Amino acid sequence: MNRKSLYDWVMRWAEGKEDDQPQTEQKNQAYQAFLDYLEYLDSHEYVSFRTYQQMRRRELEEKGLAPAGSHGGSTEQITDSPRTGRRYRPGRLRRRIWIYRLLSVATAVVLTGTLAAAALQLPAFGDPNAPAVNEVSERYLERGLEETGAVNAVTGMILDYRAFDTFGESTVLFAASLSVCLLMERPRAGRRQAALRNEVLRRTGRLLLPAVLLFGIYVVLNGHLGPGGGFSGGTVLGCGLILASLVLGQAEMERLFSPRRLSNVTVACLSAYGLMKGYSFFIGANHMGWEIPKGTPGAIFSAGLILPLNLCVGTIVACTMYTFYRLFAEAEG
Amino acid sequence: MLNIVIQQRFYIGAILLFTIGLVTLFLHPNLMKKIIGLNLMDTSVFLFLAAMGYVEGGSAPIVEGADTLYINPVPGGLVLTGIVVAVSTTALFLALTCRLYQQYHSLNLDVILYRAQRDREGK
Repeated sequence: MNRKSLYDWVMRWAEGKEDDQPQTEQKNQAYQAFLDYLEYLDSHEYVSFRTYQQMRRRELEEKGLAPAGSHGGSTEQITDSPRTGRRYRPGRLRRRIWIYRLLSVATAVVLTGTLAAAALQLPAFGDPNAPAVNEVSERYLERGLEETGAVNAVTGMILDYRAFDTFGESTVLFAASLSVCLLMERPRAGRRQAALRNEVLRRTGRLLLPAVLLFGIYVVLNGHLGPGGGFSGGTVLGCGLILASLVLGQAEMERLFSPRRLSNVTVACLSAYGLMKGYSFFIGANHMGWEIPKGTPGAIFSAGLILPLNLCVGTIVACTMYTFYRLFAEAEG
Repeated sequence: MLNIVIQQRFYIGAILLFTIGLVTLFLHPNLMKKIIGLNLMDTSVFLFLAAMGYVEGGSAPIVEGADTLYINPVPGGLVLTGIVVAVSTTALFLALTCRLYQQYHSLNLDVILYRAQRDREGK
């Protein structure tokens, strides 16, 4: 048996196309009706094919279309299946689904055992002498303040030492929002989501809205001074925008935040980030001495470029969050 | 043995979460639940990294004095990156699922595959 015919045989076996079974066509028809029935019920789980056949037979018996006690042309004994039918792919692989389930459970169990055994051998939780607490994090904590000017060591790390990594991260976010746009955008009949109809919810939302937006701006602006930064603050701002579009209605929001303007702002922020960080790296690598002054640590205008970089990242994250929400809400509506 | 398990509880919890997500991904035919399983796996990795960075008695890495003990800031930055990528991939998966639903009117992967095969064969 050469390779191609073996492949053909395996594919036929997997797809369930068997030449030596005359009742395949009839079975597939019943199966098709079963799938349509499932769609009609809108419950794709917990109803097995056998249960369906039984129900169908009873229905026919009630209408007098099939003689009572017959098996409706099926030769197999119909009993209540102990297994709930969950997967309806036709073919022989479908009948061997228990191998797949067994293998996945076995894989999970083996993986848990191995990883747990490894976790028990790890350095103790909270151990100050663990190898993960090495000279890298010591350097960030001890020299970070004078080298980056940021009080928050994590912000100093992601926006100064590893700033190009964060640039790539923002680009990933932008690429994701572009892909979602491409997938969900389609000509529609201008149907936009209206504001919430419930008066209490709308008024509470209006009351909360300034506080949420203000808190988001605070978190973005204080990224180098305390907990927070562009990503967390941008998420709060994005949630504020989503709340605003729920409270004010989509049409009102689109006057200020049209999709085109949102993507323009995102691209502008990404370019500004790249330019600022490129300038800083170029100046620093060539020892030209034109670095941005660090300022007093702890003041709001300190830490050189970190504040504008945080603003850029926060804007990108907020715009992306709102774009995701808008697209999914339109697809639903 | 039990002492070690209690001491390493966050690692063990992260591993259990990871496995729950993996089994959900393998065994649930519903695409939404598969995405939820994937998110569970993401979260378990974040929990593991954050637990790795903790130092007993350390405070958050907001540098004020020289002699204070701080937790390790490196895993915090890594988790930040991971969260952003997780959000992006989740949004992409949800968009793809929406398109599949528009085409096949089902979230069940098996029904989708069956219908796709039927469409290919032109039945």
